[in-house]
Amino acid sequence: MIETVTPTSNSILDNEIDGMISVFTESEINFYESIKPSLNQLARNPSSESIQNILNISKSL
Amino acid sequence: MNFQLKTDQELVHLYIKGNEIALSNLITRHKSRIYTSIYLLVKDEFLAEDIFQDTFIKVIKTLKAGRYNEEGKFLPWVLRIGHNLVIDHFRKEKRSPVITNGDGFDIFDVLGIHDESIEEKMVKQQTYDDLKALIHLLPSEQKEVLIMRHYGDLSFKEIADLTDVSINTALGRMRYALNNLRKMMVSKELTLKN
Repeated sequence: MIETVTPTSNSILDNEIDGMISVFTESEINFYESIKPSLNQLARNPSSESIQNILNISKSL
Repeated sequence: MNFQLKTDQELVHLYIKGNEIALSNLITRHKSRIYTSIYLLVKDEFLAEDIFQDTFIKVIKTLKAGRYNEEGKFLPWVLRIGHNLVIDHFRKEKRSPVITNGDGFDIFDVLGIHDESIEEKMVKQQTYDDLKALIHLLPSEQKEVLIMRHYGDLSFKEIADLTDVSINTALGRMRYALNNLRKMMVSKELTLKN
């Protein structure tokens, strides 16, 4: 089963210093905002088998 | 003990002390960001699964050996390991990430939409497939920044550190990525319908 995940990022410049905001134009920021929902739809998850393998390896070490 | 309320740092410390559930929670918390970042770079789900596992095996070995020293920065650290493993893979293959189509990704699995017509669903699927294809047409350094920023939720400072460039270069690559995506969408008359 594939789960949907929505990244929490709210803007291009989350967690960045204010001075950097001038790097991006309003048009670029608006474009990013417009494609974010579609980008989120491309998010995927590893299989449960992979996760179980990792946990098994951890317990064996 | 409510693991969900604990910070990454607290979970790491619990795991180092032998609490395996803490590791399970760390993986659950970050699996999508890490796996998606790897998957979109290698564009092969089986390879992405292997690299995802190898990434966490390195994480586990480092933590159990007491060599973890990036307090409070667990996710960027894990993404860096995954990123390096992707680079190692392509070095071994002696090639850059390639552009291919049709990897079996079924957008219907994640959309969970039941009240749309088949035609509407097909249009949405095509749109997401098109967007994914366009992302893969970006130069690798631009694609990396876009993926790490959006899916890894990394700051540009963290991306700059991870890719060994200045913050301005990382920011510039993001701008180029966005502008190139926009140009390609215009030229292909791709409209995103969410």
